[in-house]
Amino acid sequence: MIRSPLRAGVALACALSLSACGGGDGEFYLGGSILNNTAEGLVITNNGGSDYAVPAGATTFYFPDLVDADSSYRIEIKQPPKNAEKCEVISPTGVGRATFNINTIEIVCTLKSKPLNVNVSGLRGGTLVLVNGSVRKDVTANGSFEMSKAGWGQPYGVTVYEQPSGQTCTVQSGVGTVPSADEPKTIDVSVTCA
Amino acid sequence: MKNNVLARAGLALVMAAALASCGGGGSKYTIGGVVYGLQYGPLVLTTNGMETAIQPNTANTATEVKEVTYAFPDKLEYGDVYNVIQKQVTDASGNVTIQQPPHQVCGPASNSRTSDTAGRLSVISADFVCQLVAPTIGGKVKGLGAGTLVLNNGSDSLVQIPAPTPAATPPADIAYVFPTAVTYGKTYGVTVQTNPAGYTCTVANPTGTMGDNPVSNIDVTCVANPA
Repeated sequence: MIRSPLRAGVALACALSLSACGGGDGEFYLGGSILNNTAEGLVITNNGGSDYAVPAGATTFYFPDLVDADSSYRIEIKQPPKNAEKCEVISPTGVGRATFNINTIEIVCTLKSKPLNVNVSGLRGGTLVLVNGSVRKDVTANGSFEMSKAGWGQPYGVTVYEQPSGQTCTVQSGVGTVPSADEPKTIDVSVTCA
Repeated sequence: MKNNVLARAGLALVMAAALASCGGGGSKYTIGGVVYGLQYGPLVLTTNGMETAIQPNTANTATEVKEVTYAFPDKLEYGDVYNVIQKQVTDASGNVTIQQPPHQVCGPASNSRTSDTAGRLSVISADFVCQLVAPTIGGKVKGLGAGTLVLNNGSDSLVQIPAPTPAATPPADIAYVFPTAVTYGKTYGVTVQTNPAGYTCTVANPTGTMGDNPVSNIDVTCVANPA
């Protein structure tokens, strides 16, 4: 009987200290992984709060403000990295649970890309097979075509996989790194067959 | 007394009915499941002395691999223990290995119960997941006396190869492997992204289509530029 009021007092103290700890001064880390964060510019927010600029090259992130147990979070992309078309948050919302830091949020950015165009000339017939790594194109006529999309900052290397019968084709300007800029609009590779 | 007897009889009847519905009365349990990602057959699964050879879904297309539903031929009794595993084979030197379907590696699905007691769950689904093998590509770099050679496999992967230290004459050969593997059936095409300063490098066997084993013959020869 004597203990009961004591307990109530302790509970009250706990409640007070908890509320004192609230307001961004929480206990748990909130973060996860990032894909294709290769340039400056990524800014994310939680619950519409202050901006958090994620450094270029980071593959993981944690908000500097800790979150309270059982508080809800809503992560949004305010700005993608300069070289990214967009970023998406997988499972952006949830409720923080006591006892666990949250490190399972995934941010996936899609790099800006430009067409990797190939112009073939001098082909007299037969089939020329070109590859850019795992991308394969069988060419049977002269002219230009899009081999694939090439992401900003990504390498490319167009090479002859199989020569057309009776001819030898050579690739000019087939290797490089896609510039991380809007210009040029396309990557142009030429193939001459003789 | 009379009421009591009636109640007991009723209870027994209820229990009997319940048992029958639980399989005590001779219900049988089909062991089966779903296989995801199967592109080349067969995937051979075994349990309780049975064996089933699973073939890819005939509706598979070049861009979409559909799931396959399978079932073992005989049913199990309530309470029988099952454990669905891939068939194991013993090679000439006595090593036991899992038999994988051609060009693929399969395993139990992470959220699937492939071993249990028949009747514990209302539906038995022992699921498996298959992926194409993805061996590595690489080779040797010869004659690299200084600087760093950068190779690409198109837009798929880059590898940086620094000259060996300490320098020696002639330079030691360096083995390299691309960090990103190549999926079975895909092409590869290795070109020189950046020549090391003062050297020009050429690639032998630069292109191919990936098979079941790692490729290690993409050799690069570097020659010092004339002064």
